[in-house]
This record gives sequence, structure tokens and C-alpha cells, in this order.
Amino acid sequence: MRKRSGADDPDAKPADLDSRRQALGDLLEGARKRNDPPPESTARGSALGTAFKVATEFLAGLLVGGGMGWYLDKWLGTGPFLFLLFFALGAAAGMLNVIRHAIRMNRDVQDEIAKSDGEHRHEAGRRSRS
Amino acid sequence: MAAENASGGGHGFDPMHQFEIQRILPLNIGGLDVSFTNSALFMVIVVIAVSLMTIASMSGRALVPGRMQSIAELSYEFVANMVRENAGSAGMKFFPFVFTLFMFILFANMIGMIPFSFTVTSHIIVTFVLALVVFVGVTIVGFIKHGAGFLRLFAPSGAPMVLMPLLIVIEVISYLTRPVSLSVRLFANMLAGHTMLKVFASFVVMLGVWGGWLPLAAMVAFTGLEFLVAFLQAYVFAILTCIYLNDALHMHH
Repeated sequence: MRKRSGADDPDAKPADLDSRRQALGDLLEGARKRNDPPPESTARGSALGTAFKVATEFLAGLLVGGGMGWYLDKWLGTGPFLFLLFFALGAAAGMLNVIRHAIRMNRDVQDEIAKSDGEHRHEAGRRSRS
Repeated sequence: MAAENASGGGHGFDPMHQFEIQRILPLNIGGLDVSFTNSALFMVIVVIAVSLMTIASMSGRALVPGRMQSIAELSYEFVANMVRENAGSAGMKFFPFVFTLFMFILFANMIGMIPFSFTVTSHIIVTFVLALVVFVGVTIVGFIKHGAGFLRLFAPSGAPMVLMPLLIVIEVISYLTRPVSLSVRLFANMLAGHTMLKVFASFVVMLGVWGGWLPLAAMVAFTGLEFLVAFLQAYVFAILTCIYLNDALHMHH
């Protein structure tokens, strides 16, 4: 439809040409976006993967905290105390990682929603124009 | 794979057998066992495969790319976009590193999906060294870029001074978990996936002609899933590298 209207007025002004090129660019951009969804959405596709990711973040905190405490204990000979302390600190660090991860995921989801929202509005606008 | 195990072994079925390291070329230098193992062999295969795909397929330099050249160009653009979006244009300096990392892990995972092959990334020491290279590299980049100011990464802004010591320790531990979570994620995914495939394959053999069809159907689905996981884990590894790079390059986050 758009193509025909473009071909039908040969006496289009240069300014009009510019806006038409802009519209075509938008159209192409939209089509490109529709055709290849960002890889991020495949990454979030598997909920199992996400759960696993979060679990490893927490586990890594425990491992690093516990390991640090264990070695410090061995080095300083302070019984089990530093191990216990650093295990707790490791749990806190793991929790911090999980929260950061969740914030990042949330932001990604919101970005995507905003993007698809904008696209819809864009499409609607284009439809009403033509 | 399972069939070979069940009939050939005689001592039952062992789903972990596929991860065993075998010395192909025993070597001992100064008390260090540096044998050329099946793991090393597959690393060499991976490197050759990546090089062949990128160098040989680009040798034509056709304006209209052929099939192989398209794959090479697509992977280049895929990683280039990933770096640009996650680490900014300043991160493009590190594109060769991220591309190498991504292609190595991707090919290691994918070649591991070929029956009778060995999955390099199913060993934690391999993934841990990869993650350690990223971790140490990113830390060095951070210190070069910001000097001692990079240490501010560990001091959360706006926290009361009383809590500072505790928070700094927690932040440091959190920073140190990066290589661990990065390597554990890749290794555990590969290990679990391949073990699961093998266990289900053994069900097919055990249940025989009558009952084996159900696990066989599940196998087909799992194989597809494993290909997805193979790609995803390479992607996750590369994108987290970009995110860490971004943290080091632009500290306000």
C-alpha cells in the first residue's frame, strides 16, 4: 500500500522524499526486529536455566566464603570460628549476587516490554497514517 | 554409546565413563604429568575447527557470501553486537578475546554432542581456568583504567560508615564468586546434560524393543535441548564476560 502511494506521486518534494525515506527506514527496522528476536529472549526462554543460574550464584557465594574461612582457619589456627563466620558472609555475598541477578533480569524484561510496547504503538500509528 | 557400555563392559553401566581422561601420549616433564590426553586432543580439534571455519571460509572474501562465509560473518556480527551492547564501544577493544572465548566454548560444547566424542567443557578445571582468565583479565583492566580507584567497586555508596567493614568483606567475597559461578554453571550444565543423555540411552537398551520407545522419544527431545544448552552456555559465558568488562570499564553501576 505504502509502496504504491510512493510510486504514485512522481512530483514529490525533496522534503517529502526525506520523510518517506525515514518511514521506509522505520519499516525496515521494524521488520528486522520482528524477524530476529534478540538472543536475550531465548536465554530467558528456559525457566529451568534461569533457576539454575540463580542457584549457582548463591552456591558460588557459599563455596567461596566457606573456602576462604577454611583456609584462614588452617593458616591462623583459629578453630572453626573463621569458617563459620566466612560461611555466613559467603551466604550474604551469594544472596547479594542473587538480588543483583534478579534486578538485571527485571530490567531486561522491562526493557523488552517497553520495546515491544513502542513497536506496537509505532505500528498502530503507521496503520492509522496509511 | 550406552549400548556399547552395556554389552562391552560386562560390569554394568557407568554414565560417568564418558568423562574419563585417557592418556594418549604419556609425557612427564620434571615430575609434572603433562600427557597429551583425550581432553587435550579435543581442545586441539576445537581450535582447528574454529580456525578452519573462520579463516578458510573467509578466504574467498566474496561480496555475496556463500554458505560457510555467511556462518563466519554471522558469528562475527553476533559477538560484535553482544560486546557493543553490553560493554559499549570502549569494550570493542576486547572483541577478539570475547570472540575467541565464545567460539572456543561453543565449538567445544557442539563437538561434544557428537557421539563418542569428548566434551572438554564438562571438566571443571577447564571451565575454571577459562573463567579465571576472564576474572584476572577484567581485574587488571579495571586497575589499569581506574588505578586504585577501582577499589571503590567494593565500597557501596551511601552506606553508613559503621557497616562499611562488613559490607566491604561481603562485596569482596561477591566479587570473588564471579569465576566460581561462571565456571560451575558451564561445567554443571554440560556434565548434567551428558549424564542425563547417557542414562536415558541406557533406559532404551534396558527396556528393549517393547518398552524402549518412550525413552527413545525422550532422548530425541533431550538431544535437541542439549544443543540449545550447548549454545546457551557459550552465550551466557560470553555475555557475562562482557558485563564484567563493562563493570571494569565504566565503574558507575
